[in-house]
Amino acid sequence: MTKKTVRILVVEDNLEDFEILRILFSRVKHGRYELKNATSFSEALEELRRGEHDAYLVDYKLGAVSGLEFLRRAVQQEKCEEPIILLTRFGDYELDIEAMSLRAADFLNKNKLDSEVLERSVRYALDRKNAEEAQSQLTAILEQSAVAIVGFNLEGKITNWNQGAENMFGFSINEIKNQSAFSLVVADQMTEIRNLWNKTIEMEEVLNHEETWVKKNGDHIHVSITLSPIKNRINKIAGVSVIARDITYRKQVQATLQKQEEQIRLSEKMDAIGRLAGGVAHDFNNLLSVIGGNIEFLLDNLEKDSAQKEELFEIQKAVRQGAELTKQLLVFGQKQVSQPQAVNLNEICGEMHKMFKRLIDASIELSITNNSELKSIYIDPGQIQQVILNLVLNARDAMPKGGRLIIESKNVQVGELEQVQVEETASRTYVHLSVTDTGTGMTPEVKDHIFEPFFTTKAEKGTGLGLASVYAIVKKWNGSIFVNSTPDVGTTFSLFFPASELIESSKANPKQQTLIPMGFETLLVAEDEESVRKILVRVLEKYGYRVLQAGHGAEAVQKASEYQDEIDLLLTDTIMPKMNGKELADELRKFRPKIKVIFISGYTEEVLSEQGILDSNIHLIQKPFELDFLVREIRKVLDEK
Amino acid sequence: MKSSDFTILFAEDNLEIQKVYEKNFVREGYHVLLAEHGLRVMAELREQKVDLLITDLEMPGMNTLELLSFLKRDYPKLPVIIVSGHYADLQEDFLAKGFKITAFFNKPISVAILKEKVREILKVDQIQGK
Repeated sequence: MTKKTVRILVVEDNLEDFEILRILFSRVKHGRYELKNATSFSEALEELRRGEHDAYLVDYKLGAVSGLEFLRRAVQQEKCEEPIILLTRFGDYELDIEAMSLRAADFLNKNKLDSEVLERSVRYALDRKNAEEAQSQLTAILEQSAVAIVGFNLEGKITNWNQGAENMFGFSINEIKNQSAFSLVVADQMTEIRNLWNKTIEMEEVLNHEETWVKKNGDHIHVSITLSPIKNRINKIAGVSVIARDITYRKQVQATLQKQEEQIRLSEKMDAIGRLAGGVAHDFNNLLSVIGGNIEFLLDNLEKDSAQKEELFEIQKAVRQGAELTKQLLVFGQKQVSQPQAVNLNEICGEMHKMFKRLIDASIELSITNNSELKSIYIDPGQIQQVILNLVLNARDAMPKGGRLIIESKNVQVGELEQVQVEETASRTYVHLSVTDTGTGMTPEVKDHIFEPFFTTKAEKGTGLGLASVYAIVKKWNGSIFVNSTPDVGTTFSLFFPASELIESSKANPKQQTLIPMGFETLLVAEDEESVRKILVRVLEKYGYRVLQAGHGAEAVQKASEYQDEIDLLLTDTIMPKMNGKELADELRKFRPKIKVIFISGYTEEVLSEQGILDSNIHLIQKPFELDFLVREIRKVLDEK
Repeated sequence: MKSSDFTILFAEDNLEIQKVYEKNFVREGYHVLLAEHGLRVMAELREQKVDLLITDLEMPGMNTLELLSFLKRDYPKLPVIIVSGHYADLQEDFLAKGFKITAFFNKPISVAILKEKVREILKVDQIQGK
């Protein structure tokens, strides 16, 4: 193997000395040298700039300027990286020190030069230069990498901290040096990290892990780290290196994907259950029709006072309850027909406000935040009321000891929230409705099932269809629903609906513009005209009320005395055979003092007052009336204090 | 009018429910015809004198809109009661489309209410039960 020729520039104005050097180099056995002579400062500088030389031998005495001057110029201004060896005729210690401080590679006494000295000096200088280059590259790699590279000693104190680490965590090396490794980690991961650390040191293993660190500004940052044991020259473990990469973005993407997957899974599951529910409900209705029809046939056949009638009535009651259940199932199965229109949630919440007040205990502080700029959404008004009512009732039930209930609505733009899946609609703006409680919250296990029909945590009080219908309705109108819940902290339901562009068209149709508020209370309807009674019952049930009905006063009294729960309002015809409306109301008030009363009458108030039927505490609706008006009046009376 | 003066056609594909209708209404004195699909409805209407049609909303062989269109064209005076298996008040929708529907009920049906409605529509004041 032939060694590479070392090209040396000899900066020397004495040609004899140059000749001597050439002879000396030519005697070196294990190397080949190519010497070139520069006799002046300027010539030497020119050569230097050409950069063709591996090393420089510079005479201290160089015309008007000294060799030191050249050295200074070459190193400081010209950024020469090749070794420069200074030659002088006098061994001068101070000169030597100065030369070294100017990064001279060596300082040789001309009087003591021989081949060996020269060869060794040049070789060492070149070796050193190569080593330094390698070292500085390594340092640059460590220092300038975008990943955080941190060195720890065996006590876990930080010894090295590169620029990447500073960028990632915000601490400078001076702030962090000698800090403990554990001061960087969030508290709840401490034990885990300690175990990893011990494993790395004791087992000398390289370990990978994902964890959360704390930045200087207190923010958390997700990092993927690699711990490696660092060994010293005698192969003994001396510390640990940690390479950390910022995976916050990856975590975010993962979380978003996971959320979307959950949504898709949930929506598939709900679709399947919905179809099942719809199908089952349909078949059940047929079965209930058969059972009910046969019971009625039997009842007609039996003698009036037959002892078996009671059992048949029981069966009939069960059939009715079954019918109620299938009705709810069909709602969930999205089989109901709806009448969508542009609806403003401010209005809806305003309409429902009084009802909320009655529904929730004084220990619950209710706040409704409206947004005057709020866009409308395209939805069936009855259905959105049902949604809000369900959410409010759930919030109430989650706060048996009181708390805060916050209903908020605002516009959001696509992109502000990655949760909203936009592919289904072209809308850029969404309306965000949230219902928050500070109640008991839910465990993740419960949260996973809340939208499933027949899943309930309210024991016999719940049907398990409330949130299932909420989900079905939200989906039906291209909305999304999300729930955040923490046990003992509270729950937030977030609903997103595409904003409607149909506001104008709804104004064109004033009849649709006003909403009819729903209810949940129990009403007793007394009306001797059966066809009228049936219409009343049907309409009131449609608006959410539980309705008891009676064909005359005595029946109404009986129904009221049998009914276990509260009856909120009596809606009665004024003139009925045997017992008139006033008498009925008086009778009922004897055992239900809080019941509110509305009379329906074809007579004017005047006439009724004269006959002593009307008193100040009674509301009157005159025939003929529109059903919408009746429903509104009932709501109004119920909401009165 | 007597109940025995009238013939009611029940269109219902569920045979158990057919039996319920038949039993209850025959006892009331009516003549009862049964059809389990849409084509049969058309055939019965052509061959028999029918005073009232009580039909399920979903019939095999012919959907409700087809049936109603057919009735509107060929039997505009025939009273129709629709029984729906879905929880929905579709009556207004149908009326809005210009179809004549005399009454609309949701399943599960109450035979008592249905009987009452029939009496009202046909103006029956005399039940000739068996």
